[in-house]
Order: sequence, then C-alpha cells, then structure tokens
Amino acid sequence: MGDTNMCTDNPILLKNTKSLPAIICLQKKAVKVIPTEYDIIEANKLAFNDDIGTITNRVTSMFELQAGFDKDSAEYKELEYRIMCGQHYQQCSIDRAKGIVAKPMPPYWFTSRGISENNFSEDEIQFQKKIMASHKPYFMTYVYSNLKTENNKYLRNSNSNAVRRFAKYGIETLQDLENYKSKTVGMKKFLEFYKLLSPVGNNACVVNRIAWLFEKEFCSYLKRLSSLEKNTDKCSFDYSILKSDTEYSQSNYDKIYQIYKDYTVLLKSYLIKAHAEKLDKFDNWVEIQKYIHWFQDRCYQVCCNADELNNIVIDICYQSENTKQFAWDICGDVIIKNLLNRYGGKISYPYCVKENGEFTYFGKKFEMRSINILEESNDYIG
Amino acid sequence: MIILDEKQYARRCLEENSLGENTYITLSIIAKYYYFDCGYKKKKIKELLKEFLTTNYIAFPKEENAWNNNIEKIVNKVNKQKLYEISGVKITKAEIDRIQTLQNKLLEKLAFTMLCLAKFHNAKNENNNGWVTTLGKELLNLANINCPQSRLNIHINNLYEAGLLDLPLRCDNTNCRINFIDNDGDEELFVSDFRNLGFEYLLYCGENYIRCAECGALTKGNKNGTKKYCSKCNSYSKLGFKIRYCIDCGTPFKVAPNVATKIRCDTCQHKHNNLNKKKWRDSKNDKSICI
Repeated sequence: MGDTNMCTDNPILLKNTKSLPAIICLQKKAVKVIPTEYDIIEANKLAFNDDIGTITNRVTSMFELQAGFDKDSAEYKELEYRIMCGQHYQQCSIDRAKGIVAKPMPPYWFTSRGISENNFSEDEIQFQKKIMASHKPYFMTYVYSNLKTENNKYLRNSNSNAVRRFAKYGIETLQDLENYKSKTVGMKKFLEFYKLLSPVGNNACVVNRIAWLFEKEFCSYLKRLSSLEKNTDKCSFDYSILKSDTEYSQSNYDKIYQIYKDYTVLLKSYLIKAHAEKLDKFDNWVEIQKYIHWFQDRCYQVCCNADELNNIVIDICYQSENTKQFAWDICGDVIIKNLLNRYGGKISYPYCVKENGEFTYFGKKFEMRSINILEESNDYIG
Repeated sequence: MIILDEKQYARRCLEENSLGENTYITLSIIAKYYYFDCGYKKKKIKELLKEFLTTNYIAFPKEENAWNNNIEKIVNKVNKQKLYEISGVKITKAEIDRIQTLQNKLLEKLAFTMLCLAKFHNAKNENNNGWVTTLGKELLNLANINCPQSRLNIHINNLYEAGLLDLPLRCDNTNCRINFIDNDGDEELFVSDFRNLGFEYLLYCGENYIRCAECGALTKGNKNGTKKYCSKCNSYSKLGFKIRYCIDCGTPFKVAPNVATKIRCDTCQHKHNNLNKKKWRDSKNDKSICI
C-alpha cells in the first residue's frame, strides 16, 4: 500500500497486478502545533495497542473470503469495496495516534454480533454472514503459533468425530468423508458445520495456495526423511569415544539419573512456557543457562570427579534415543577434552580454497585441513 | 488421574509429602481440604501451600514466581468446588444386561469403563447428564484395552451404532454421552477402585483376576491360584523415607530407611550436642579445680 516502489518485468507479477485508480483517503486534520516532548509522549501512548495490524489482518481475511466467490457475484463486489475501504480505516487508525477522533471499521464486517446489532432484513443477514471476515486465513497459522495449535486441535477432533459417526461407511479420515460420493443428510450437515466452525478460512486465495503447495512438497520430504532415519541404524554411533577410562559407582549413577529426570521434566515445562509466551531469544538463553548451572551444581555435589560424572551422563543419554542435550550441557567441556586426548589434540575442519577443492558447498570449494590444538596452544603460551 | 475420595487423597499427600502425578491438581485438592475440612482462611492456605511446595518440590526456589501465580489462582477459586468424598459408583443389573448385549468382550470393557466414568462425573456434578470427558489414551488405560488411539474411534462408533451412547452435535467436540444409565435399579456391582476398570468388568464376568495383596490393584491371576502380587509389587522395591517425631520438640522429620538411632530433629540435635559439649567442658574445668 505505497510502502514499495519497484520496477519489474516478471511476467507473473505483471499478469497478476490489478490496475486500480489511486485511492485518496479523506484525512481529518488535527490542530497544528509545534510538538513538545509532552506531545510526543502523548502520541506514543496513543499509538500503543492500536488497530493497524488488526485492520490489515481483517482486510487479508477479506481477500481470502473473496477467493470463494465468483467475480460477478454481489459478494465479490462488496468485498472488493470493503478491501478498498480497508486502506481508509488503516489511515484512520494511524490518525488516532495523532489524537484525531476517527471512525472505526464497522463491526458487522468482521463479527456476527455486529450483524445482529444492525437492523438488517433476513436476506441481508444471510448475505452479511457470508462475507463476514471473522476468521484469519489458513496461511496465518504459520505466523501465529496459537492459531496453528487451535487449528490442529480442531482438525484432529473433527477427524475423530467423523470416524466415530461414520466409520460404518468405511470413513477413516475427514478426507474420506469429503470424497464420499453418496453423502447422507448427516454427512452433509457434519461437513457444513465443519466448514462453518473452522478457526481459519480455507478458501483458495493466492497465499493459501502457496502454503498448501509448500506443505505438499515438504510433506513428502519429511516422509522421506523419517523413512531414511528408520533405515539408518541409530545405535551404530560408538559413544565410548566420548568417555574416559574412569569407573563410576552404581549409587552415583542412580543419583545422577534422578537429576537427569528432573532436568527433562523442568526443561520441557520451561520450553513449553517460553514458546507459549514468545520469550525473547536472549532472555530465553539466559534462563536456560541458569537452569544448566543449577543442574551442573547439583551433579557436581553428587560426583565431584569430572571424568566420572562425564562417563555417567554419557551412559545415561547415549543408551536411549532421547535427547543428548543433558550430557553436553553438564559435561560438554569434558567431552571435548576426551575427544582431543583420544586423537592427540588433532582436529579437522573444512577450509575454503580457490582451486582443486575436495568438495563444494554453496558454490565454494573446500578442502579438509588438520591442526593440532594442543601444540598450537603450547606455542601460543610459549 | 481419577481421584474418588479427595479428602483421603489430600491427607495421604500431606502425610507422605507426595506431589502425586500432577502437582497442580494435588495442590488444588489440598487447598480444598484446608478450606472445607480444616476451615482455614485463604491467607493461611496460601502460606501452607508454599510451605508444602518448599519442602517437597525441588525446583520451587527456581520457579517460585510461576508457582506463586498458580497458588494465587488455586486459592482464589478454592470455594467454588466442593471437596468430593465419593466412595464408588453403583452399577445396576439393567446396565450390565445392556452392556452384555454387545457380545464382544473388548466393546463390553469399553462400555463398562465409560459407564463408570459417566456415573462418577454424575456424582461430582448433578447437571452432568451422563457425559464422559475422559477420552483417548487415558480411557484406553482405564479400560485395559491395548490398541492404538485411532482404533478407539472405531470402537466408539460400534457403541454409537449399538445405541449405547450419543455423540455431540459440534464436529470438534470429542465427548460422549452414555444413554443407558439406570440409577433406580438394584445394585449388581459396586466399583470403588478406578485403576483397572476393564479388569473389574472381567472379574465380574468370572475371569481369573486377583487383587494385589500389597496395593489392591487388579491383576491377572495364574493357573495355580498362587499369585498374590501385581507386577509392580512382586519385585524388590526401595524403602522410602521414614517419618519420626523429635523427642524434644515433637516436630516430624524425615530419616533414611537404614537409620535406626536418630531420635531428634536437626535443630534439636544441634542444641543437644552443644549442651553435651558444654557439660563435658564444665566437668573438665571442675576436675582441674579439684587438682
């Protein structure tokens, strides 16, 4: 909406760009003042929790709804008008930050309560309900994690219910029900409710179609990946290279295993909370580090010998298929030290070269080089 | 987790210093116990719950803020629900007969389990009207049915087709309503243990099931009739901590199972040791004076 000026010869963009007359939104004027610090603070306060993003989302929902109607239909044209007006209401929302009293978007455009508050005739109510932008489009599930969770739960429950009701017709998924040819009255009603109560709009608008395309591609990719993982022998990794020769007692193992169980429970609950509250990445990292230090302290209280502790945590984590994070969090430095000792302090790394590389990655050539860390560090100290 | 007698559960948790399977639910029940049974004020309940968590939840100092919010929530709504003391549910002859018309042991187990759950929820709430909300993995566990969750939907469809339950109109509502509840008939069976409802039904049908002599849970018996314990209780189990009462101040304190001589709490023991040391020093000084 005027944020970008661009030139392109891309045929897809050219073919799909609509030539519309420029919209001039009538703008109310505020009293002209030379802004003081107080005015800026006031404008900032007014701009908090504004509706600009919400209005943009509603207009996006209208695009999605529009894709479900014929171009010549009254619904399509009404939505076209509302989309254009959307720019005006965005403008109004920005004006509100300047202290101007501006008109909000009519509630009957996006809520059923708004429809019932107006004195519409029965036909008009049906019409307004059809074009009411109350749900976000499907692709927004990739923007709002809560919406994705809600939609997934809705799909899962609807799927279960479809099977519970119609399993005797050979229905095993909701997809089967949609494709079933001779639908009964109950089936039609069920599908009608399913579409009506869906938390997201599933009309074939452009971005929804792109989302489905990506899903289709990645679905097969993920299937391939999981089958590949199944075929690979997961136990083939010899984790003894991470350990030293130190022996440990069974009682220490049991105590550390108890701490490991606490670690998995606490970290899991914390990560769920962090994901739900959308915590800042840095804050999240700091909080996790606090947990790690706390668990490290607890582990070292049980077993103060680093090598012995390392062997215990390696045995706990690498004997199962669960995450190995605990081992690396508690004894990461000891594992690295053991690996270096095992290979005489030598490490190999890819080095970018101009010619004759051993392999190519991202258009650049690399060869493997080795360096002795212990010697290098001794030289440095010397 | 089905808790029939919340009062008993709360008492047991307080005695054993246990947080149960779900800490939040346990705290809610303990709060209700304090409010309804002990008659404590909300402020005191808040303090007691914090004390309980401090002694029993290892990560409480780290998660204090989150748990303080939870405790606040629990205490605010403590008076909104009763403290339930349900001894069990009564199953009538008519209900058993209705279940047995299915002629399929797996479906019968499922129908019996759902009936018990519906009656339990009815006992908790008069307006429940036979609805069952415990579905999925938990229902399969309670009914002792070993099948994937996707298969459960097909079993529920069989019960629906047989007319034993109603399904909700909303397409995303996964609850079911049992429609053959008969509260007025003669009692045929009284179910007071909700751990293995599937086995409970099979025991009623005359199959070889026994109650564990240790924990009372139902388990499959052997041919000779010599089996006494369930798989959890038949092997070595670690002794838990013992609770003793201090001989000086009377407060309860924990001791490891192998400790036989500890009779005082740590604070009193410290005081007692200091007193002994003092006595010994005094006696030594007295001797020196004598010399």
